[in-house]
Amino acid sequence: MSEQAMAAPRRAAGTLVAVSAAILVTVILLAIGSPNPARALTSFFWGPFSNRFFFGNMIDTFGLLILVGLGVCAAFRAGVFNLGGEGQVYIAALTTAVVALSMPAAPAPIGILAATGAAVLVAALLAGLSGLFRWAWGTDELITSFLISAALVPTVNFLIVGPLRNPDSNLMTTVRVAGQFRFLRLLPPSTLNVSVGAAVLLAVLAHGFLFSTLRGYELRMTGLNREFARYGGVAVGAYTVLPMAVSGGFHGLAGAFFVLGTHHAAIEGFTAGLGWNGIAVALIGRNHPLLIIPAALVFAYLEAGSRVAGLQTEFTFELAAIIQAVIFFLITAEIVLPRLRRGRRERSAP
Amino acid sequence: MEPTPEPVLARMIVRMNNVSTWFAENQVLANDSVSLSIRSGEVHALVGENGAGKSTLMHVLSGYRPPTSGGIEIDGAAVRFTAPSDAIANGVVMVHQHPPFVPFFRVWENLALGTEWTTPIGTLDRTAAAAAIRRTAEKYGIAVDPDARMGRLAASRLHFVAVLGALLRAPRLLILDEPTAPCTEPEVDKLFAALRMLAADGIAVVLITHKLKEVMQIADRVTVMRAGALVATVDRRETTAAEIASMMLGEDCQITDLDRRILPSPPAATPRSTLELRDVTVHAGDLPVLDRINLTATSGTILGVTGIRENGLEFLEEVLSGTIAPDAGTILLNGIPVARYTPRHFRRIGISYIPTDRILRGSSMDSSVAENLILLHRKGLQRGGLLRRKAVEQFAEKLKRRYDIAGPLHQPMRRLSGGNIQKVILSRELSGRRLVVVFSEPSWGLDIRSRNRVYEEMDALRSEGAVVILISADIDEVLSMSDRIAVMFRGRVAALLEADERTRERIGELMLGVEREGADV
Repeated sequence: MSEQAMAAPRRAAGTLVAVSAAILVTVILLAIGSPNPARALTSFFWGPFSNRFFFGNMIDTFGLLILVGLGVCAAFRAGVFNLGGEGQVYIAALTTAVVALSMPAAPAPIGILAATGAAVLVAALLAGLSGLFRWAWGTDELITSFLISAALVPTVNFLIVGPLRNPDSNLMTTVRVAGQFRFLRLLPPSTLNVSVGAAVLLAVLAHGFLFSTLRGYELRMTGLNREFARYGGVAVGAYTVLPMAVSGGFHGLAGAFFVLGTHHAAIEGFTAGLGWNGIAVALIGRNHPLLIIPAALVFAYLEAGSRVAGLQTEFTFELAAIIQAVIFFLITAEIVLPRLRRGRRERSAP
Repeated sequence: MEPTPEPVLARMIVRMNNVSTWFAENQVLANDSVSLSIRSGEVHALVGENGAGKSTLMHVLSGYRPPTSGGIEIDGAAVRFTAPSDAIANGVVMVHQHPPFVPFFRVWENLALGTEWTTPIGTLDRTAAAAAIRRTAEKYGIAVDPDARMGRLAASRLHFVAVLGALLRAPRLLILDEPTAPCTEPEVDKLFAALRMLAADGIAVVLITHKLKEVMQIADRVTVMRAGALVATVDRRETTAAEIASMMLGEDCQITDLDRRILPSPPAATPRSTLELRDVTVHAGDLPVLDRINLTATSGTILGVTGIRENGLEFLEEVLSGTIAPDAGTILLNGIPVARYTPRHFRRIGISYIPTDRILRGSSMDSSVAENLILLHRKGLQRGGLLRRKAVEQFAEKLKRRYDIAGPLHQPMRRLSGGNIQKVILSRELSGRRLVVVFSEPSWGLDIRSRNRVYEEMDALRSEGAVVILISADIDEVLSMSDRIAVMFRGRVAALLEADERTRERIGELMLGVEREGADV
């Protein structure tokens, strides 16, 4: 309700400094690492806006990043951590493809609902399992969600390149889903589709849930001080398992949209760190659903920039990865360090 | 505000000149041009109500917070502290009200932080650490086992360890913030003996406290603060407790004298409710920490439970709040065994509880005051799952007014002083109807006014016919507030004393497990 509002200007200034520093480092890296720095810089910063294709793809990524950011936020607000987003997105994408392919003649609403629902359910169950372990045995959900995810990725890889592979394609991919299931494209030839609207809407709904409902209040209290919530009669067990499941659900939705909206098939390795980027987006957005929207935009822009620069110049993909790492590092440092410092001061001087 | 004449001989070490501290976030002037001198070899008590600015002033002196204006001199030279380490380098060490520590580390490991007990290869040297700790502990008569795990120690012991840690830094000025709050009387005596020894060694000691009895017992000089300003610094021998109290509270405040309090007559008993503990047993490892406790508390009375810490009070608190389930035995409310031992269920059946740990259990420090206030009432403030913003505000505003909680409702809980935090907890717990209210150490660290407020609430609950249980290690508090007193010793109820058979001495003996010949308990 209020803690965000109060310190918001100061925090915003901090984030601005971090993002500026990240951009500065990017410029320096581009200048050093690219044989033609001027062209690389232009491609990086201007490229995402230079045509419909690049711009649309960036906005598509933006929508997916919102969803995974919300996924991380859902767990974090309840004081649990879902580190398995990557695997959850991936298996949800495969589930979507499999369900959609199994009913090629179904009418669009039924097929889309079934495929999306199955994806959300699978991801939610997997993440919820970690929550359940935590609740039942106190197992660290951070570790179990990570391990489950780590086991899922190669499993999904195997299914895509093995039994489910489209024999007619040179790519390691499944067959493309039937045309009626594909989301309406908004800026062809880019992958931007209507799902971006759903992502923004969900962020607004999540905000309303967290800050204006009874359950949202209970969830936040559990996250801020579990002992306090338990003492106040909040069913903290439920707020361990359910937020993990909801977190998985968001990742599942991202996976479903990734197939139905972006790629129309499950391709080996195509989630490429989307789950991990969700953590970065949630951090930049301070686990605040509305702030996750601009955070996802910043991250999508930087990712698009490095992709365009990689396509148009000699700028390598590794350099792009380094730049993303630097941005992630600077922004988390800006967020985590003051928090640590504050925590220390308060513990010693209450 | 007249300056006291300074004797020529006492070498003054620290002087604070016109120190002001302004908290911009909540628009509070915590220190208003305070000037104070502290001399070596004296025990200087700093007294005042919660929020009077004592702790803030000492945080400035110990480098935790820069003053907004004003300065500090040590031995005549101006100093500027930007961090506690600067203050420590100048011999100024502060022990906080809630000393921070690592629970799963041993005592010596906690104290090794920032010291140089290392072996030549850079690992921590346990032998050297333990020896240094033992040496200092023995010198000042503070018994602490260097190998004990921090998390297992009682609150008072934690404080002793923190004091010991401060002493290991060879202070010239030692600042203690409410060190006696969690202590039993023998522990207070021990601590004060150590402080006298320190003063005799030429160390200056500043003691922040609310307890006038302690001030009169140990202080050489007393500085009184009120609403951020320094009222006066006086010589203890030239003043009285009553004079200090009136300086602390201003002219118009009545104080309750615990020793002379007469318990109001019990109310006409209409709805009799009872809370009964039947053979309640709790084990920690193999040892019973609560051993077949049988107690019955009835409505319209206050059952006091006292004892030295680590004799079962803590576990009784946990069992009575549903935080832990007894390993054997039952708790019965109005003759019906409670179905589940969870705080949620206990709340549902009407057992309310004011916890000892107000920071970790009683509050969500990162949430607003309003969010802390509505915790128990949250279901009444929603419609269709949505919290009604206006109802939330009105409800919080009502509680805030009734209990004079300072500051705006939207500020985070962590900005509140200890007294105001307790007010938030009390107002939350006592709003609405409760069959049973369990108070655990309700007056720790509270000033006289807030303390009286707690006692008034307890009396009110008692006359309303609630079952009131007061768990407290403070003998005076238990003696003056309770209808009956249970004394705990080694996990058992050593005795249950009725009004006519209790004295401080008798309770003290029972707490310490002294067997009295021919006494039938």
